[in-house]
Amino acid sequence: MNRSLPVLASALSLLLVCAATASAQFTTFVPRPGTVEAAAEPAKPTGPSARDTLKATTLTDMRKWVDSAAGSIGQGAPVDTTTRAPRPSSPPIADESPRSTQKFEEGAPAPNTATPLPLLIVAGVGLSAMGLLLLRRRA
Amino acid sequence: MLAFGVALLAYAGQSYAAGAIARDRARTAWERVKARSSVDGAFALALAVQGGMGNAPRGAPIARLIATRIGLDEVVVEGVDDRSLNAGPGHLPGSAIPGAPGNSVISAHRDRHFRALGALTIGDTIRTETVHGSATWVIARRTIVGEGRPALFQSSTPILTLTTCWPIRYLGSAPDRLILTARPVSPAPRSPTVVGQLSPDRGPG
Repeated sequence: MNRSLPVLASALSLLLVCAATASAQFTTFVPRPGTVEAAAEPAKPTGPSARDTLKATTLTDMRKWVDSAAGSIGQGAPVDTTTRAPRPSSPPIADESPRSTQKFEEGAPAPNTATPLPLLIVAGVGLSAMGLLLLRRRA
Repeated sequence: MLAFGVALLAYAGQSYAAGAIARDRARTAWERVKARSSVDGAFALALAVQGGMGNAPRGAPIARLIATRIGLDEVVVEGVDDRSLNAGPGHLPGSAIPGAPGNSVISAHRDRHFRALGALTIGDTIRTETVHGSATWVIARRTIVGEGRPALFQSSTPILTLTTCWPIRYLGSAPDRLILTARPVSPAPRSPTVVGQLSPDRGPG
């Protein structure tokens, strides 16, 4: 019991601190390109039905398109007809909170000025003190 | 356990140290802005227009906030994001610059620049300085609202709103917000005449 008390206290402090900061850490998930498609791909059937005729057709079309594109480059000035998708800029973490106010609006809540730093300091002081106490007992 | 505690203290200390450095930088930048605006009217005008429209760049110093009774003397920076609030009280983008017609909202952390804000009561005075003048304000209202509750409203007359977390001494994420609303007691700062919307010929509101 005497030994489990510090462990329990540190676990509790860890929970407290993590709860205060975790919301700012895991706010979004960006899947790796291709991961979703790979995961969504159905299992390949085996046997004669496994032949993918659709893929073969697509590849043929791609080759035609590449050939035509190569021809058009040689004929005139290159024109960029592709529209670049806007690069998703990751907004500040505070913007993701629906309760935080970043711009003045009628009836808006006060800006989010909450900070976990005082809690971190108290937890840090408490843990350090307990750690020192344990070290002294061992010595 | 000791290492974890020291790591927590180091993280918190580093955050406060970074805030102190950013605060000094903001103060230096503000002095530069003030010195420049005294000789360069066009620059002052541009900054005033930017501030009035809420388009000043994030982190740029836009005003100085002084409350002598609680020993508050801070440079207000544009923006209420984490980085701006670490450097000083933040001016909410889109709200008026202090002294211009409209509600000027300034927020700060309760454990840093606004740690003594709770001691201000109705009747206390505050002074603001911008590139185009200074104004004196008297606190007319003091309210505490829950986080996420409507607290900021438009105004046709100059109003200064100061906000921070409440309770001031609280472990964890404070659940409420302290809202102090002040009205000008001295004529609002003289604005550039070119900017019609920034010429407040108004007395106390």
